[in-house]
Amino acid sequence: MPVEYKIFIDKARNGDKEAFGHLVKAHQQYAFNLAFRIVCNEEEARDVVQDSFIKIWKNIKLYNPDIKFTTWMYNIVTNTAIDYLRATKKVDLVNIDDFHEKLTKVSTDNPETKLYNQEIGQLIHSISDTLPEKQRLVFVLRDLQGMNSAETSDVLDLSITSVKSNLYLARRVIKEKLLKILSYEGRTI
Amino acid sequence: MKCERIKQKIDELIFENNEMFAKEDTNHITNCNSCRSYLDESISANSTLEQMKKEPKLHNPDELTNNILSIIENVDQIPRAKIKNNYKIIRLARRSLAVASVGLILIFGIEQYIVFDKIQKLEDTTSKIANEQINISFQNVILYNTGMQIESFKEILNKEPNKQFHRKIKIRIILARLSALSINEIDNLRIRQLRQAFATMKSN
Repeated sequence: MPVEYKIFIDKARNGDKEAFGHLVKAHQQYAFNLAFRIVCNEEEARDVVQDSFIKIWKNIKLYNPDIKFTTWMYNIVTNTAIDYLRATKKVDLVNIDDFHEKLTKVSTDNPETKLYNQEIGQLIHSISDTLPEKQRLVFVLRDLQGMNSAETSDVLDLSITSVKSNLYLARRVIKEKLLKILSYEGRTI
Repeated sequence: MKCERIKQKIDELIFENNEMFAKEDTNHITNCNSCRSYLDESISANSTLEQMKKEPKLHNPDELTNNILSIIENVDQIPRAKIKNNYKIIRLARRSLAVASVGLILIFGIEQYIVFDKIQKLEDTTSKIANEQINISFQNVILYNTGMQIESFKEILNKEPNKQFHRKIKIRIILARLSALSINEIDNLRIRQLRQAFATMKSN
């Protein structure tokens, strides 16, 4: 972690809101990525990020400097996103034939458009929605966020063995889904 | 068998882009229709996965930062002392519970041990008395308390007290043994007194 972030954290622990603002600016994109990949919706992800940083501000004195700030932050974002999903209890199971049209490709490569986020969100949601919560989180952190097993186990408070076994199960389901989509495409072409 | 292994490697390739194929694997894929089409499918699946990995764009980041900062204006941080105190209380409560549990286990354990030990000693003492063949007082006491001859009494005594009847009779027998023990003691005392009386008479 860069030295200036450590200074910002120390200052924020002493109630410096300006320093906390710097921390928010530096980390909100990462927090948003994670929140978005869990809730799969831009507006909801923004709410999750906002709530997460408020929790971080409240509890920053509890933060243990021996662990990485981002690990602690990811832990809070993940829990907030999961609470958000549980509270809204979205049951949106989509038939493979119905969601094929949404899945083929992200039609726009321009990240500035709202459609870009929407399409990525739909894609992640459709592929990973049927996974159990733990498997889904492990898949998001390992394969989409690009964390390693040790970091994932720290964020989710799981053992590395549990991370690996959940990842194995998640990947098996994801692969089956992806191949199913491809076979559908083969049929329709 | 080889196809299975190759397909497993291909599966890993979907998720781990750094997976590499050995030259012999590449040769196999080139010559095996099944593995080749599996690889083609997997590469397409990987491209969908790559779409999923695309980083979502956070629009208006400054607006989000300002929202957060304006909210925390009215939000207080949880003081460190309070957090520490809460932890201290929780830790103390946990330790107290642990100590209390161990204490209770010890108290009940020792009590149980004492009870069993007493019962064992009582059993041993009464058994010794029961084995004294020539003990008229004891036989009389058994007869008086249980209405049984000494042989029947011993037979019952050797049985396990698994039935309620046995349990009841055993209690009565134990009482009888204790009575016999006391009577023996009194007898001994009387004999001693008589001896002393004789001795006194002789000396006179």
